[in-house]
Amino acid sequence: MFERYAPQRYSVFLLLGFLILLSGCPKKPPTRSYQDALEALKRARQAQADKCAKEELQSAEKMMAEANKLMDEGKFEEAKVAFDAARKLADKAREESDLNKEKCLKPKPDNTVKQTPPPTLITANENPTADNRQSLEPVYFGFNQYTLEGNNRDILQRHAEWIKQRPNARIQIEGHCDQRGSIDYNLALGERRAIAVKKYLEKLGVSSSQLSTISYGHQRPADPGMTAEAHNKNRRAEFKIGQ
Amino acid sequence: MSRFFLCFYRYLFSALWVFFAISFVQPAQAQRLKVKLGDLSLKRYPIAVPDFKGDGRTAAKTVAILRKSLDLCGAFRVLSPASYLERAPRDGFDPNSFDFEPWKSVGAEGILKGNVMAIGSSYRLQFRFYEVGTQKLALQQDYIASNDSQVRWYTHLFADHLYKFMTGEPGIFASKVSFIRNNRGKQEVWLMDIDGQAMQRLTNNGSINALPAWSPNGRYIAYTSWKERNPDIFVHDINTGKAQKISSFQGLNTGATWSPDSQRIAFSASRGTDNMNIYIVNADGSGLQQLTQAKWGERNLSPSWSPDGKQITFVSTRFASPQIFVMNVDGSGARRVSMQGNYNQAPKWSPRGDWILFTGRDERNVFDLFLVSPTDGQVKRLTQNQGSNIEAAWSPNGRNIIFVSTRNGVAKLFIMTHEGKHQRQITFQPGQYLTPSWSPRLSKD
Repeated sequence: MFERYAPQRYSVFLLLGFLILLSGCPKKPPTRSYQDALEALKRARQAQADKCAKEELQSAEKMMAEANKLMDEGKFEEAKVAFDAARKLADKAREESDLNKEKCLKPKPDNTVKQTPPPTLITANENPTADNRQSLEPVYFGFNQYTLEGNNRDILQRHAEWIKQRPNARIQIEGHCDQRGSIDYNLALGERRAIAVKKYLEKLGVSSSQLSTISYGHQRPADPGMTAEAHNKNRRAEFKIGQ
Repeated sequence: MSRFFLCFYRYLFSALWVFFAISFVQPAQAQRLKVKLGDLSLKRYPIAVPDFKGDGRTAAKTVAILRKSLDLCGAFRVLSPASYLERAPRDGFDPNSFDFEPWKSVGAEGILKGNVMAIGSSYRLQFRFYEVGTQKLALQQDYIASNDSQVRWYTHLFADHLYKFMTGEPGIFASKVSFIRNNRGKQEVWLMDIDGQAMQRLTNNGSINALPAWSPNGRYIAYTSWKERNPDIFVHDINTGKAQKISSFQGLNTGATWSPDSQRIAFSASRGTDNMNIYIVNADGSGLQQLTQAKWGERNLSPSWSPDGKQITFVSTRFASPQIFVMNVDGSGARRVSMQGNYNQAPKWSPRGDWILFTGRDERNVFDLFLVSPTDGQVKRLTQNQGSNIEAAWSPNGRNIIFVSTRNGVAKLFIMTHEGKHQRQITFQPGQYLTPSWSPRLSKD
């Protein structure tokens, strides 16, 4: 990545740069392959490969991440190969998913009594005595991440049930980031997080008219510290409930 | 005056000046110029600024402003007043009223002397700049200041004259900086002089305000505010003190920046979707144009105009991680320019056009400031091993950079040269200081 100041190493880089030049490294990023791969992944997800062809989808996503990494490193040729591979894997995942669909989407025989778990309710910190208002716990994200996985999906599943039982409730989803990086990028990232949550809740059957989003970037930290722990607490989507 | 100057500077200066300078004016010019700005790091011009004569308090204030400001820009080295030898009876400020010998021996190449005289409630300010080598008066200016803030203003104006005289380029002192000050959760837009003094609050809405952007004609400041709940873009008119809302799409409206002619604003908006796009709108909010076409959750943000107004640099996540891109002002021809690092943000095109300044995260996950060439992708590092350094802005002459650094704990504003040299803290009062934006040269306080 960025080299620290080291003049004695310049000649090595010059040589390296020259070699890359000689090897005919393509100057243009493989935009086409990237978009094809993205589209294939999207189709796979639409075909519910996350449920019916989990492993295949995962390997496609892994290849995609690998390709993005190569892209960041400027290795366009390798990135193109990886994107093409990701596309093939995604297509495979979609086909597999289509084949398995009927079987895997059938509700599993469930021995336990079906029961909606109680909504996660915690008393609002800011106003403990004011009224009987209750709040929905936040979901947390990884660095520069906005995808919703495992635990977050469970939390949102419970939130969705809670919201659906209260058709008059209006929920504002606030996207937040940790306090690293530029304010404008984090505003966009916070927006992306809030919208990812909104979309997921809608997918779970919550009416979109009950949901709105807002991004605060890193301007309203839950923990003003600059420790790793504080960063973890700050990368979140919060739920503000109104009537 | 301001508009005339700016027009002159922008349209005639940049085009004709370069032409003339190269052809025949340059040799004469080069002989006169004492400081070559390309090599600020090699040698700063040693200047002595002895105490001014006249009205004690105001004279002391004027000298303090000059010493601090001249030192900030990185073109001068203000010699420590403790080293000055001149205590002789002949220590006047007019020509032939003092001797040059004592100044030669402290290593000064220039001497800035002055006199401040109270006339009723006004002050007469007299500035005299001498060159030790020729033993001659090289530059002089007299001003009448009717109050304290005008004393500040004229002192900075003279500093600009001196900078121009020494370097052949417009100075940075008769300009201001707007920024966000986060003091106990209140995040308002503030203004100050470039030496960190004369702070004043511009907004007072008690909400969150972010990303102020000063228009190149000096009249407007655009900013994002949550004051009506949704993050919308407002344009504050400094002459009237009124703010007009110019973009209020559902969702995020942010990152406003001005075209070089101050007629148009580029910004980014999500319009409530998971995509983010860059738009251009006229300064009055009319004539909306969409420049990027984001798909699949791609975010395009943080636009900044090239000085010729023909291109825009911006951040895009189209290849997953945020990277710096350049496109034509109609949205065509987008290409990636940052090829190193995987977290590059907040690009700002230099007023000279040759570099794009940005915040990047290095291999140790530390945020620092870098330059990237929009033509060949060459990268230069400006800050290192000094906390996290982010969100920089150019001075109007492209020779200095103001930025946010956490090197001393809380985020404060610093100024350095365009080469990353001579880094100086300028804000010390409580609170976090964020997202600075430098005004053009202003004609009046």
